[in-house]
Amino acid sequence: MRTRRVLLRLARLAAVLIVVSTLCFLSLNLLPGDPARAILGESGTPQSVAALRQELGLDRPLADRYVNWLGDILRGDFGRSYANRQPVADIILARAPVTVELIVLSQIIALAAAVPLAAVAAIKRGTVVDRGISSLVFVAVSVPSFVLAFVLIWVFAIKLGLYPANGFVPISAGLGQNLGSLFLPALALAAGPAALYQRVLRADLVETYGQEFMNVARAKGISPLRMAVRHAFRPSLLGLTTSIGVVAGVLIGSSVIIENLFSLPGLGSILAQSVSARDYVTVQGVVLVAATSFVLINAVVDLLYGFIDPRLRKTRTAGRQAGRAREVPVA
Amino acid sequence: MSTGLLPAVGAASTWRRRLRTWRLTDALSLTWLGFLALAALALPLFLQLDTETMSSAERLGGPSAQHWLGTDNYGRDLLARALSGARISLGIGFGSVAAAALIGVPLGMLAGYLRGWVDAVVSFVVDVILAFPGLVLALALASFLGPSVGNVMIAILVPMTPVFVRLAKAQTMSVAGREYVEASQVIGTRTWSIVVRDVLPNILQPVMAYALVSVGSAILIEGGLSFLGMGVPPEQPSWGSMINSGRIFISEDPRLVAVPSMFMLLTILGLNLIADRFLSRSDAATAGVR
Amino acid sequence: MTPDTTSDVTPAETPGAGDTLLSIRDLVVEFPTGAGTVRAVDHVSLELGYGERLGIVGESGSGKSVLARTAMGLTRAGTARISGQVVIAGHSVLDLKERRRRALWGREVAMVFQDPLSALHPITPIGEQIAEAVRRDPEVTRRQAAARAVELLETVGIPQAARRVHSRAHELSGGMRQRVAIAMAVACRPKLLFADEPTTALDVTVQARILDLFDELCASFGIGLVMVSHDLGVVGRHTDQVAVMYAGRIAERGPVGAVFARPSMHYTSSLMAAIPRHRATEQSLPRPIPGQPPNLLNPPPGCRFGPRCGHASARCRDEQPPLLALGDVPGHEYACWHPGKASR
Repeated sequence: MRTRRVLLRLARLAAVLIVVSTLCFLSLNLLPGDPARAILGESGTPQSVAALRQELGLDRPLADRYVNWLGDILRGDFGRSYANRQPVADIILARAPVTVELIVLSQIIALAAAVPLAAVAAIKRGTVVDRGISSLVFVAVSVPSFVLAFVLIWVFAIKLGLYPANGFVPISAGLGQNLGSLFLPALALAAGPAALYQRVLRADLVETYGQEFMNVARAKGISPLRMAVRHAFRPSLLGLTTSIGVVAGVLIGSSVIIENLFSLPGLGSILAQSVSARDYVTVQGVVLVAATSFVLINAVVDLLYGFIDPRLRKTRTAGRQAGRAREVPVA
Repeated sequence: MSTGLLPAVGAASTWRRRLRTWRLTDALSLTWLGFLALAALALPLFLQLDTETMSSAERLGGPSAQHWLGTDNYGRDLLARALSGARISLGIGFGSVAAAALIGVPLGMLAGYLRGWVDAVVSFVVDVILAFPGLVLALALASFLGPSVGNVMIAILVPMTPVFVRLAKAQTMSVAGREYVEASQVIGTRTWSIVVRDVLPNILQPVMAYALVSVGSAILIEGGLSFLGMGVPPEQPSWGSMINSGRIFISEDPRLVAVPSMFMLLTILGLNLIADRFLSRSDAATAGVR
Repeated sequence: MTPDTTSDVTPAETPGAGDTLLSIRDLVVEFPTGAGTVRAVDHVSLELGYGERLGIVGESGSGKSVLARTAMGLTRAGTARISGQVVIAGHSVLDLKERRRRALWGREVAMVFQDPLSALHPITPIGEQIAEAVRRDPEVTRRQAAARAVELLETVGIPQAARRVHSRAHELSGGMRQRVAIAMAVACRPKLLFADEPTTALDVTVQARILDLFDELCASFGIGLVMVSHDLGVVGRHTDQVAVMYAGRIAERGPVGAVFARPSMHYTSSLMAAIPRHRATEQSLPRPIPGQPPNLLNPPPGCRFGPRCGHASARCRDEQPPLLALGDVPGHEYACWHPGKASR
């Protein structure tokens, strides 16, 4: 019974991925006119256009091209970047770790800030402390990450001279320096998510505290600290888990701007550059990787529901329904 | 909200009750947004909003009588440019959200009410579109389609519509289980009528609240696209492109970045405040223990 | 703590009958609300000896649950105005700060709540929840607690206890969940157990068995019981003493047999007349009590039950009757100006 459900889920996942990749493939056709000409722009001579058309296989029938393309992708060949003739796959592999590290770091910062603030706000619900935190959170949720980035740059890098305003230092050159180069951008990315997490977690904690089993625990003589950690926490994680999945997507998007701002050599910045340079082959590859990663992240999130609350292992949609109708920023 | 045989009666009276509990923040945000809307729509007709006059003599000037917020690196008036950018951003914001809602909400309602294969198909399409992170998809679309206001709106509405679908579907599913819907079904009301007259009014409030918040998101995306050079055509001033061109001057004169940033921030904040106060589900007057 | 043995054991150490386990003196509990102050408990005094069982009966709104929770000290500081004294096993509960009260909860005094569906933690396995209650005794190790949890499950009558220990709340039926709740409550052999409508949320068929379980446990572990219920039948068969509450005051109290045989205050007799009974004669039709319970914001100055009582006089309207003893039966007291013969 359960394997059947798992198989169905996997099948759906695969279907989504196939359609996603197909859309990526077809995106070149979205371009008005001839894709090769669009890539080359004004500098395209008839010969270079013809050469590119051959390289991209644009003369062959669609189905043919699709199969070839799919085969290439699965073998790890994402084509060649027009801007610098490098294999797109190499570009992606080189840059992905930067983006991943940036996003993971911001999630960690966001959670580290949000969880204690949510706990405090929930325990002291209705007091000045709670309302103060709520106001702060409200503003944080409304500030665009790149506006915050500029503020951080101005304060820390320019006025105080503490952090480098841009540039990435790889781990090989020293962990401290590596983290230092990512700190400001991660912070800029983390503010909005932290605010969202705090809100969601606080709301769920307040709801959990209103449940009868918390009264029962109190009457058992359990200390407030133990009640918070051992009793209240786990049932309150569902909304937060959903949000983490959604925020992952938002961060992937925001990283495009933030990497650009801080001159970080990640996937986001190459996407921005390729878009400007009309290097559509690279754009295609990066978008495909971004979408696939996001789908996989959400699949993992779905699995997590079952771990957090074993009751949810029974129903397929309960977990997703649990947190889904919440407000969520799109960027 | 309501359970049982009657839908939420007295929704109008809750509006009136909320109107009475105005706060300073509400007044501020409405004033700001009203000012922006006025400036964006009306002023260009009455005043010549001078966004273009470049004057090397006045480069990077600070606030003065003639230029209330100063000038940019070309000597152009920052306030005028910011207001002009407001027109574009607000227009694109409201426009794309309206379109996304008009497409997404009916689809979501149908999927949530009819279930079955309609739901399966709609959900699958939604999942596919939402597989692409929002800004990434918008950027890719904007770049493939080319710079124009219309294309920017498309680039924003494609990632936004599925969220409306999901929201409308979730809300519909919770309303469809209520007894007054069952009552309508039992007496044989047509599906169409039930959806429009029983379901729609009861999901309108959360949908509207979300729509207002989405305008902020749309402004953000448009800002991001313009920042990266993929938004509206460069001749039209937009907050995002203003920030982008002001970047290099940040150490000399942060105003070039600060002015459009503040406009963007205040606008999004104002929209969120209004959405939260007047349209959010929990009625402040009855929301449990404060 | 003496190691436990299952039933059939005479009551554990009782400091001697006659020593008071629970003493409530002149308890008043008031809740400030937007519209005024609600006095949920109005000068209630009660006593209970070790190992004895007391039932508190009343309609919803009579204040019985508030009485139980406040007596245990559960009412949070700041939510209500409380005056009076409550002494449990020598501890003056109301004078203690929350932290000191917490030391008593689960060890000297425990409570079983009404709704078993929501009373258990949804994710933690029930064995762990019971073990957590056992570990309130600091000398018990984790392993001992786990073993005790299994024993307790057996004691409360859950079959296949060793396997069930790993179950989660949603896998159990209502009756089983309530048994688990009871196991948690008696884990450390409290001297006093409060049960707040413990069977109200259960199917009728299950109710009787749960009540029998209470009887067994209280007898074998020597636990004093205060059972709050709106159901006279529950109280009648499973308690020794009963106190009938109406609108925050005690209307009548005494040994359960005596009170039921000769209800003197008219609320008591009306309650009994309102119970449907299986009898062939016409007198078996239940007679509902007319009217509504009083508005606790503005209670009538005299006897609270006056407006609904068929025997009320002017005196009843103006003066509140005190609790008077019924001469021939020790402990039987009633609060009525015109006590009646039983009217059934």
